[in-house]
Amino acid sequence: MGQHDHHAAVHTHHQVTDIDNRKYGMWVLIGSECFLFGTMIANWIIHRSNTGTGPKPTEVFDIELTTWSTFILLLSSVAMVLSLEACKQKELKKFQLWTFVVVLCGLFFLGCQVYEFNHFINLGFGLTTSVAASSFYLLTGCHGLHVAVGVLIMSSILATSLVKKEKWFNYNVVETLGLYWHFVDVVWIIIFTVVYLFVYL
Amino acid sequence: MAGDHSPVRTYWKICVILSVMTLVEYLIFKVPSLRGNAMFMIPVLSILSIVKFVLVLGWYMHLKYDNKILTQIFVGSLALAIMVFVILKLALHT
Repeated sequence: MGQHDHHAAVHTHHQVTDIDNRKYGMWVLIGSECFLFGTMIANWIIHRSNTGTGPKPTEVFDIELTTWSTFILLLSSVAMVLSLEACKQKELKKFQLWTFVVVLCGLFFLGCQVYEFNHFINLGFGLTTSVAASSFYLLTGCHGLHVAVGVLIMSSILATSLVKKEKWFNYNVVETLGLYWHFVDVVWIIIFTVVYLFVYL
Repeated sequence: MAGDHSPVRTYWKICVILSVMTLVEYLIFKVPSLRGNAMFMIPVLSILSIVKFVLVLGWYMHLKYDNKILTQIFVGSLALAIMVFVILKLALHT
């Protein structure tokens, strides 16, 4: 087998489509995450009225704050695609700037969530107050955990780019991680409507 | 590559559309006569949400331009997740 044939064989073994394996794997992960969040959203819809003697969600929710955190997450998504575009164009400063904005937006969102949870607990809507409260914290907490993981990953990318500078650029890695970040944003779009707005109906 | 089709200007336009739609959701919610009106709120908020969902998937996640197998993976998973959602709701809703 010639060298070219050998490379072709290795290529075929590791990659059956023209899609980067990491990106393909991320889409499979995103598919499985649909089940995770779909189940938790169903759980919330089923149990949202089951508040027992505790406060109802409508008595504690602060839609203004949640709307702001939704804007922040949408901003982080545009920052993520601009970071990817800068990576593609090999513009280091722009890449670092937009990645920093993604991290900053993620941290701001998490700060809003911590404030919100603390506010709810002070109003008597704690983790074990009722089935509705547990369902709420399970869903939004799991989403917050995903944001936190995203912030850690994007911070590590930013730190690596600061150390290695131009040598580092890896479009496929940034694109794959960007998919994860956008999916977290997509899930929040659904949570904002189904959990925070539909509960008033 | 997916990024070839997605200039920066398009990304900003989509960001503005997403922000405006979120603002519309909030403003609809703030109208007292509409807040409890399920017949109006559920379809309107659902449509706004689905449009936002598709915009992020199609343009920010590049599904519009990428290999169709990725769309099939996502849509297939989403369809199964919706089935699980419906079954759970039918089985457990009291």
